[in-house]
Amino acid sequence: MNQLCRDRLGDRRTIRPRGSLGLLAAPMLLGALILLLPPATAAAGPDNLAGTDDQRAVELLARSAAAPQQTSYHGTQYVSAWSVLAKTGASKSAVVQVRHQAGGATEIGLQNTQTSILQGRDGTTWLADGGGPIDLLIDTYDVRMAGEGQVAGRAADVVEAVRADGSIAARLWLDRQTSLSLRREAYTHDGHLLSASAFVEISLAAVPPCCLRSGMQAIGAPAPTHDQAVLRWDDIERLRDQGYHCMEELADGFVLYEARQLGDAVQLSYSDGVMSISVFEQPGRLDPGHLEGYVVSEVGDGFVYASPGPPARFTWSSQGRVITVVADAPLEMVDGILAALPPDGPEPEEDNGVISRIGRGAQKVGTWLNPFN
Amino acid sequence: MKHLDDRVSDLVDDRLDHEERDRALAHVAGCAHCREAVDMERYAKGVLTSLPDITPPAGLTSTLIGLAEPGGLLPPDDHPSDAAVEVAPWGPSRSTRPDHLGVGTGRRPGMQRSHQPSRPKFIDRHRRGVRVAASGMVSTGALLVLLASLGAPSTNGRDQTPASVVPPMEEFTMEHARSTGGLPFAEPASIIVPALRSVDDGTSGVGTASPGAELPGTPGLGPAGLGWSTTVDGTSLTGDGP
Repeated sequence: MNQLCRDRLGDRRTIRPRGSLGLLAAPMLLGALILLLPPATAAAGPDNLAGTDDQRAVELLARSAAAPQQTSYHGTQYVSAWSVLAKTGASKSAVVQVRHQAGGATEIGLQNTQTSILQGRDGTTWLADGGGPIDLLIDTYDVRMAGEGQVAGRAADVVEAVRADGSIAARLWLDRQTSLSLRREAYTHDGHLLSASAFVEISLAAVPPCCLRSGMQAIGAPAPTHDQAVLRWDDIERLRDQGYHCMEELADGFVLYEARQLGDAVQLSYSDGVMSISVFEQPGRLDPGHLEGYVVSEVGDGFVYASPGPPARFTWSSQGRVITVVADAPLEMVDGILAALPPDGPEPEEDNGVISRIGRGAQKVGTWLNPFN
Repeated sequence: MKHLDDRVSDLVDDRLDHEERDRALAHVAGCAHCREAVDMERYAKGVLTSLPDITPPAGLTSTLIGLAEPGGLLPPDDHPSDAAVEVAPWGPSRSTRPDHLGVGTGRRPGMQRSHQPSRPKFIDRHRRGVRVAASGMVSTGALLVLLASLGAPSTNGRDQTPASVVPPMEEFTMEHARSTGGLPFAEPASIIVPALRSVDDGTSGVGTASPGAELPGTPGLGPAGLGWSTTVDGTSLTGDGP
């Protein structure tokens, strides 16, 4: 998607709702949290560290990635995300209850109501090179220590992930005692917040199984059964033979780390360790008639339908497939996908005249006789 | 009878069979045009045969032979005069075999063909042309019909128009959240999506959305309880709590 398209997506707003002024408590809480540290900007990250990683930061991140395996906790977390279509100004925020059992899944609740369980990654679905998400992050960014802070009354070390151009991609507050990630912020290239989360309060005490609404597995419980939908590389090769694109990587270090089959759709998940994009491929041609409220943008010969989110969603037809992108990453990543899988032009109306039919027949015979076809 | 045209030379050179020669002579007797043509042909032939022999230089002969056959000299032609007599056949009934032309026999070719059955050659040629044209038209028509049938809108599966697809956006968004939920430093939107989805499903019973608070394309944000908000252009929309 070029700059023109991006501007269009940013400028066109399908609705401008207004809300009650008395219900601003949650955003104000987030604002207070963010103000604990000065805002990150593109200028805040000097480029003199490009290509070097602070070893202490690397060690802290590695410990943090492993911390949920050893530490149980529960608490209240404030979460907010902004649309990658920055000009829409769209965002979502929520205060959620988080319960995590060491080595098990994480239960996400809203006002003491169990809503979802996020399974930890057991490594069996991992497709990318390297050991896991921590390697993605370190391979893509320079990481460095950026001071200390306090989150939910706990001392924390601040680690920054810096892009090659010096802009800060993410800032993480890691608990000094357990290395748990207590607070997190992600930024676009120009310093806008993409997402932010922070514990308002957290307790490291283990949650008794009786108190878990989900009954999620405790330490020592059997591992989750194998997910039949998970795709391996040989499955991906087979799908490519069937016409699926299944790109191995996107621009800026986003690599394919997981693939799943969802009916006739294939989900391809890409990440750089901090942000993520899911690309869904379905055979067929997009029927935009049911996409209510989506912003239409002309890209090349075709059209892209976008919803600001977050997470922002884009869908279009390309080469016999319907491509749907769910993005929590800067819009440049979607541009890259659009360049690789450009939208199809309008479907030509089939001419059923005799001359056209003879022409199509001759073309078909030509394809039969073409030894290189 | 039509004019003799190209058979004038055959008549002058005595290459017609008996019946043809009789008919040609009878035509010449009554046709001033053909008679003049025959006279001119005989005169030209007489002039040519009356010319004195010219002996070409030996070097010219060898040079021409060398040009014709770079790999070496051509073998000598034993019957140059017979080869010069040979003419192209013109009817379907005329044989092109060398023995019919009298090559190597020393006799004139017309004497060999004097008893061949006579056919109206112009009718044969006409019929043959009609047959060729008719078969060509039939073949071309059949080919066009075949191509048109191949190019007809196909109903088999391989050539079917791609099915219209409406992506299940909410399901895809949930799958995206599930996929990123296991990344330790992933964006927290993966937490938001399932949380709000559950509220949307009505399983929490924590409240409903204010009318107009839903952002188009994000229907999961409609119903809401305490603790969620949607902001567009900096304006916060927060659902009523219980």
